[in-house]
Amino acid sequence: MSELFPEAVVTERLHLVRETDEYVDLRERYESLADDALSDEEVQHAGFRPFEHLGDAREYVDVREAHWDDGNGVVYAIRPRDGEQGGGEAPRASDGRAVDDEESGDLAGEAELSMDWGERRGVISCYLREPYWGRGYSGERAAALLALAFERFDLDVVVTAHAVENENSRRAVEKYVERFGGERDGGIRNWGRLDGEPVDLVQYSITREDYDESGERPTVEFVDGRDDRRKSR
Amino acid sequence: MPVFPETMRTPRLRYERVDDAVDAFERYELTRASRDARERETAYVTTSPDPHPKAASDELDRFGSAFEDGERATWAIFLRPGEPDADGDPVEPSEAPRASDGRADGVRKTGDRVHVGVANLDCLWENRRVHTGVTLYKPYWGRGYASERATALLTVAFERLDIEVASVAHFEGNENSKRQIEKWVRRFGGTEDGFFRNWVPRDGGDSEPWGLRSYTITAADYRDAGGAPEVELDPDCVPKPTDDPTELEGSS
Repeated sequence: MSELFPEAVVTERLHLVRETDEYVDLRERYESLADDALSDEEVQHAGFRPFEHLGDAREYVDVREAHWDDGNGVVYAIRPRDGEQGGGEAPRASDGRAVDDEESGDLAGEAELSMDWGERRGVISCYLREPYWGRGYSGERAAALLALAFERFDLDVVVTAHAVENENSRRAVEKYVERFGGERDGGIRNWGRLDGEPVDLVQYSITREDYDESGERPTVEFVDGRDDRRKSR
Repeated sequence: MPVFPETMRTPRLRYERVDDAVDAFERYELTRASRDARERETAYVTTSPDPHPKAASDELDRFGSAFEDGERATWAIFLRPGEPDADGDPVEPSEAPRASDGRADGVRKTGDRVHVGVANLDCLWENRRVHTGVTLYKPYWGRGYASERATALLTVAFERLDIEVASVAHFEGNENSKRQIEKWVRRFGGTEDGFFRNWVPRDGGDSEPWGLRSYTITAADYRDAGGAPEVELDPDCVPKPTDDPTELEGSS
């Protein structure tokens, strides 16, 4: 199928690169979400189980690559750009197979845009590792994905949700929903799952009209892959 | 290797196999459902507009498979240099500018690739018959492009595929199509076969069915009329999408 999603999205402070072996080394991905790397607070709100072994990381990336191949969504790894390393942590040695952008820092988290094409609706979500909390990265990532959803894909609405107890997410989401003129749709009971248990979610939406009328035009660059359609023939 | 030519050229237009020439976003822009200004253009077509870029992408994939399999050829039609509007696609005033595709200043920058429509050829091999079709975007109506495109499709049918009969039809009430079809059917000595009532379902059966007026041209008609020597199949000098437009002039 022809490529729909950009391979990378560049914002003022963040570099979002497609979650695939080509750009994110599996070992690096494993170490960033391994059981012993995550704090209790991170695990509490994580939408995934911490990795016990490399096989977990393999499966995690496979799911994301399949999502891309279906054309129904994209998952980006979030890397802070120059000078935005994780709170005092030494940067991990890159093995050179990761993204060939010297500016890019550690894996700070992940951002997703999923499409309900028939409804012309997008769903955005993200998580950040704890050292990167409180920097406004979530809002910056959301702005970039909103631009992608409305300006490139011409969607009618973008929705997002957070677990009722997740105060950090609530603050981050409320801030960018207000910036783009969206609204809180309501609470939905047992709408998500965390660690195998159902949780109540709060859902928000931003329509295309909201986005247009907000006058906000995020600074963002989309980087497309090489078009190998013709070459493959 | 496909049975159809991947590129063609006529005096004012050039043609490229659509799934090579056009990406999902360009196709979506030209066909999308939300584009009010396009509504009148689709009054006499059976296909529904692509509702989102993924549908456009899937459709291009289907065009590509059908082209490879020899069932149906679909070509994008582009203006050749020197034609009016050949240096950019006028944006209709009702359309909101979108920063993402550089149309904010009222003209979509397309370089030498002004995409004016789509030509298609359906093969009924066992009947030794092809059916010809065309879609032109509204700004390019009334210039005789549909008739010019027909000469290319007839050349493919009779000189490349060795088919016996080419057909064309329009829906009752579509006066624009009627005029352009009569013009070239006359040139090539074809005949009007008749008018078939309630022949094509409309809106999936929810509306009054279409009546269809159908015409055919035989290989003998085409040859007696002198063929269409102005058509070039597989010309070497059709520029690839990224080429500089000046190269075409230099090599033609």
